[in-house]
Amino acid sequence: MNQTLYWAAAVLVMAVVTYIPRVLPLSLMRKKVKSQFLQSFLYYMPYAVLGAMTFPAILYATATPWSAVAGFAAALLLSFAGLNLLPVALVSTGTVFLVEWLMRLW
Amino acid sequence: MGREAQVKESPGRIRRFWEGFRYGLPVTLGYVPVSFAFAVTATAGGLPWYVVLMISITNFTSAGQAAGGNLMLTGAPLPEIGVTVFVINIRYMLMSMSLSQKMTGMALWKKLLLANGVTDEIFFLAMQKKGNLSGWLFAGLAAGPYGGWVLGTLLGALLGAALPPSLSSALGIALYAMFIAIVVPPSKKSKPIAFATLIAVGLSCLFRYMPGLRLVPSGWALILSAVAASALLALRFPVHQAQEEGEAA
Repeated sequence: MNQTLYWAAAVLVMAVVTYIPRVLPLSLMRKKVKSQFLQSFLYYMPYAVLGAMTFPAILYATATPWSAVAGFAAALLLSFAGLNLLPVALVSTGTVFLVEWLMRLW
Repeated sequence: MGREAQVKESPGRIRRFWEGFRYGLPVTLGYVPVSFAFAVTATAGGLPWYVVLMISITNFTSAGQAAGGNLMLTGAPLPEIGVTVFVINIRYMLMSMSLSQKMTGMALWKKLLLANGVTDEIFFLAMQKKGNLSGWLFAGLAAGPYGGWVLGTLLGALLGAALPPSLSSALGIALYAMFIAIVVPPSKKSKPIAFATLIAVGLSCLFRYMPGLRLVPSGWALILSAVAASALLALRFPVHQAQEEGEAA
């Protein structure tokens, strides 16, 4: 297959398989769920998804696990201190950068 | 749409859109470095800048497009790309399910459009809003981060080569730091939520490190961890709708 055509097709495939899971439940579930179990299940879902997405994946998000641990600790600390999304992301990124820079000095 | 609905809705549309936009501003800014990092990696690997940009414009998702981009670089067959990206994105089904409960009664065409805005962070912010969601608010909430995502990608794809690798490595953590900033405050306030988060984390560690379980593809592992943790908490600490909305306030 021609290279450009391959890229275009791949991008299209990715777009479709990204849209499907986003749109299906949203457009098909038109009513409020009655079951208390399901209501509760959906209530806890966001936190569970985010938790499982973050850890342990965060440990492998940078060049070395050491800098990742440092960035993770910084993010955790600042979040518990009540800081907003953006400062947490910035300080955590800065921490990773600093730790990796220090590691290169040795 | 009925005339009454229009009369009722029109004065608030812009206001609600802006309310959503302002509410989503931290995510808007946070997405710039994250998509920047994606674009740097993808262009460094050999994808042309316009292909990388098109991926962000049409996908608007972090993990899925990173994996898809990598596969494209290896020339993987299309079905493999499709299945991999889909598996990573199955989590959106769960989010979309939760979100549907806050959009009952919304016109289908609006949902078809707004579904494009379901990302981890936007979903999460939307769920913190009390009661039913206004389509315009959600549109504003999604529009800013989408702009940030596309802008960051463009900058990364064009300027990325000039960047030291240490900086792109550091940017890799920004997305996860945002997740933490999102999940910690509600976990601090509610013990069951903290349990749900921690149990899911524990399960996801099992899937990562346990022999045997390690073989489960990461997209499925994520779904299984999240479903098991939420189901457990739903059985142990059932929530009433009224209570939930009170808490979210």
